[in-house]
Amino acid sequence: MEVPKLLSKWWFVALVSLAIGIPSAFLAFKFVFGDFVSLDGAITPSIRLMMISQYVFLGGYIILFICSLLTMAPRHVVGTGFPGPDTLMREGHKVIVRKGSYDIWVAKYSLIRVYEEDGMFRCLPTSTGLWAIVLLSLGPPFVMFAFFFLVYINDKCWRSVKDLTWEEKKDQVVNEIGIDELLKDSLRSTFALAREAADVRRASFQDHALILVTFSMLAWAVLMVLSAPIVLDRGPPWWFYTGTAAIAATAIAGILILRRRSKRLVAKEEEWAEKLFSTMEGVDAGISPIEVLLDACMEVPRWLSLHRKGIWTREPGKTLLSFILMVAGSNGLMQYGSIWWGFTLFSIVLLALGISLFSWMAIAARTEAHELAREWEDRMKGMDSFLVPERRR
Amino acid sequence: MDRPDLYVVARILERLWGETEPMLRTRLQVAVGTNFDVLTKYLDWMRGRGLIVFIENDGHQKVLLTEEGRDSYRKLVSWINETVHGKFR
Repeated sequence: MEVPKLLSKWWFVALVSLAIGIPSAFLAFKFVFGDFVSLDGAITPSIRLMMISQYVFLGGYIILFICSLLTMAPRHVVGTGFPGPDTLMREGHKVIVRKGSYDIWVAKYSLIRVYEEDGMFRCLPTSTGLWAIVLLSLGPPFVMFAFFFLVYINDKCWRSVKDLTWEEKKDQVVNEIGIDELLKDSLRSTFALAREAADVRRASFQDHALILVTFSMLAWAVLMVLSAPIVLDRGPPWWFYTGTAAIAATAIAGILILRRRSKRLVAKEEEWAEKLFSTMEGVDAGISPIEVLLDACMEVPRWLSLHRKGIWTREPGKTLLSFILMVAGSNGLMQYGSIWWGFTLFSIVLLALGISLFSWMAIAARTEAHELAREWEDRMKGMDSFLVPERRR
Repeated sequence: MDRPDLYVVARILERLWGETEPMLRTRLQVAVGTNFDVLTKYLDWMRGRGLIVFIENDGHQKVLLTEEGRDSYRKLVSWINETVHGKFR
């Protein structure tokens, strides 16, 4: 059996991750903690327990990292007759079309990204799935659960790809769609966009909250490093408690402000979704579908930009990588002074890489949003041409 | 009229699209939800572009969508459909 085919099996991905992760963790453990724990004297049960737990945590992170690479990085060939985004939307699947690719939500935690140019796809977690992985990997004792969860995501993606490919497809010849059907289709799609925009708004609150929590953790790590020499001699100084309280208060206040702002923005998108739903269902006979759609067209670039700006939904793999780098870096920094200096240096490099990757993604998202706005202006000129018959003819 | 409002033109086209028979001006006015003077201006503008024709019937002036009017409506709906699917890149 070829390796690409084997990558479709959850057990293969899990076994490879474990097979590489366990010895790598052993080597890393020996390299990093080798001098930290003196083996000359007797190993007390508490030292043994600490060594085992450190090894398991380190192994968990390495296994999760390898499993993430095996699950999200490779592109696989989609079978012949794989449906396009329009067909999938008509079949009721949640689909987001991107530049050159489209995402299909196949489960609560799994999505498939199909690249139209080369007919390949990738397995990715949804923003909810990513959140679950991130939260699990924040606590070292839970990192192994994140690994099993990722394996589950991989399996769900592959099963869905097969289901979608094997489904008996209707005749692919698209007949000329009637005007009424086109209007209904536009309303359906716009409704889906508005509803997804509300979801993205909710998710962006999580993005911002996560950034805030990460920076708070970094600030606390710095505080820990600064107070470490004093803590070892005389116990934590008063300013350590004050600083911790100030960091916690700032984080909580920030999250509350973000939540209030997010609620307002979500309500706006939900209002749009409700309006489109009423038009679709014909609840209010006085509403003109074409007028609602023309209004909705003005919102489309904003809704599309939202998808592209949402860090989680945009590049889940890279976001997860940057987060892992930042967490690993800040965790390493917290060990400052207690283990080998090279490990501290390595942690600084990891942290810098994580922050750089995250910043680069944010800048790229913003640039793309600007490009989209410019393209949208050109599109609007096309709308004006309906009023100038000389140009139309 | 220098620059008509696309929304009003679209609503007129939308109302006339579904009618197989010529439509009374007063009925069209109610359906579009505008006042008679504004509707008259728009109808004159649209007739000038060949989108509609006026038909005298039983002493009433009725409005009928021309083939070009139907084509314009079709194009507008297709444009909206492409736009909401993000096909403008």
